[in-house]
Amino acid sequence: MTELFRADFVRLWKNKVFWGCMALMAAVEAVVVLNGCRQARLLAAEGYLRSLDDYYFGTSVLLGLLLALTLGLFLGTEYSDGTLRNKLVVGHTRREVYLSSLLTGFGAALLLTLALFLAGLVGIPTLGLWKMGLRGALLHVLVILCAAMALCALYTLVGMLSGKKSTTAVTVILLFLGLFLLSSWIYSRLNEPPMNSGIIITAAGMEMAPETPNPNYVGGALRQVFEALMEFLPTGHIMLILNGALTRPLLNAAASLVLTVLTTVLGIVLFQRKDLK
Amino acid sequence: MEYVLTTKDLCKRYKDFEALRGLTMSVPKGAIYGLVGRNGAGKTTLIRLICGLQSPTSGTFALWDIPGDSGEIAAARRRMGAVVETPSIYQDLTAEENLRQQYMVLGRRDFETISALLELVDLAGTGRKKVKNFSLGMKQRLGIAVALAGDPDFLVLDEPVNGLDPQGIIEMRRLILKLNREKGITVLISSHILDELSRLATHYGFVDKGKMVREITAGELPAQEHLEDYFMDLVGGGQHD
Repeated sequence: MTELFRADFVRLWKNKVFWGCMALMAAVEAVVVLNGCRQARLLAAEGYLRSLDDYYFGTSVLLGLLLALTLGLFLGTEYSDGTLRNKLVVGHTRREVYLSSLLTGFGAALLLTLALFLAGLVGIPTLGLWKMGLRGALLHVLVILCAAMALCALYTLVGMLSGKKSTTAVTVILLFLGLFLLSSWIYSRLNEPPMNSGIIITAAGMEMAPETPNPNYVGGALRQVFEALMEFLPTGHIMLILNGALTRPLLNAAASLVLTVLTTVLGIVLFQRKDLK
Repeated sequence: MEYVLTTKDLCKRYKDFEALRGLTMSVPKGAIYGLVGRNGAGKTTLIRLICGLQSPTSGTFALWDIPGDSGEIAAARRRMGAVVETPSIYQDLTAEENLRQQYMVLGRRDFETISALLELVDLAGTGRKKVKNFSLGMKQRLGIAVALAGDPDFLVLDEPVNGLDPQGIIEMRRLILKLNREKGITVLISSHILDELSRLATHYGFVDKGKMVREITAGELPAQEHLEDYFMDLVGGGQHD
């Protein structure tokens, strides 16, 4: 399998879409952080303090999207150009081919995460190091990387079963956007207060009124389900990071790894049964 | 006699359609075996099964007496090369990069031999030209080069001259004969162009409706009869010219 992985990784290394995504990731991260520095300077003049933590991980959403674009096209090419056949004809097993594609995806995830991490360092001269400390920052990076690996596993499942390059690319992008919107919606529902404010505005001004139950509040068993999904879904982790609400990074990283393993096992089983043309 | 490929009662069913219905055949070592049949006869399905792209519904096949469902089939497949339907080549890479890719897939590190392989298929001067800018004939030849990257003993070619101009067909024929006669490579070749096949094949297998109707050697083909006429008489449904 090392031969396959080497061949796949060399092909990724030569891939223009991948390098375009790397450049975009680094550029957007640098721009976001530098803009944050400018904003922080303005706010500091008015007495509001901002730190590197407020801006550093804001582009982690983009990482998931760029990974979808890179892998969607990369995996789809094996079907559209028919080169998947070359690997099977010479005796590589379906499992080896699948795992090699997955590991190559992990390589792309690692490099994109590295691009995010390194580009964001431009903010240190202005904002100093992270308020959460280096350990905290590295834990956040670990969660992002594990979430990216879990997304890779999902994209690989789609890519190895899809059979058409355009379908693969569109499906994985929509999959990411769908998961992210779901996580975003769940997060907003979890942040609804249990009661609506008792303050009402009338012609006479503000008046107190009894608080009323918030119909959008999620409680009971459903709340537990929503909280579990936030802790389990890789896009849930990204959502928590975007809102500075990551409290259990090691649990989140482990959840991503569990999802990765489950998705990979399912993917290999289905790929082994697939009739290829 | 030693056989490179044998199949016994090979069947393949897709939902409601039975592509192979108990196909039994043998490809002798050193032969150029011409697989002849109409569209939809099951030739490509057979090739997909022996190349490991699909699994048979029932029946067996063996490569060098190694059963297709055994754990050792991977080692047997290392001795094979195939071009199935269309050449399997990366459109955004050059000819050399494509071969480097296949060398890496095979675990070969002797990249210096790539230039000789490109010369063999007459693609030595392509330089940095991407495959997407190749002619069809060049793509077909590169597909064969990729299939040859593992120094195979058995080459499977599915419709290799489809879409080629007369010059391309002649070049392809010369290449196949060279591979067979000089390197001793056994070749299984499926083709619609019976006239071309009759200039190449040492053995024939006539496939119709998923079954092998007859296997003969080139010497057993009646002297006065063209391959086309023999085929039409065998499977029926046509008039002789």
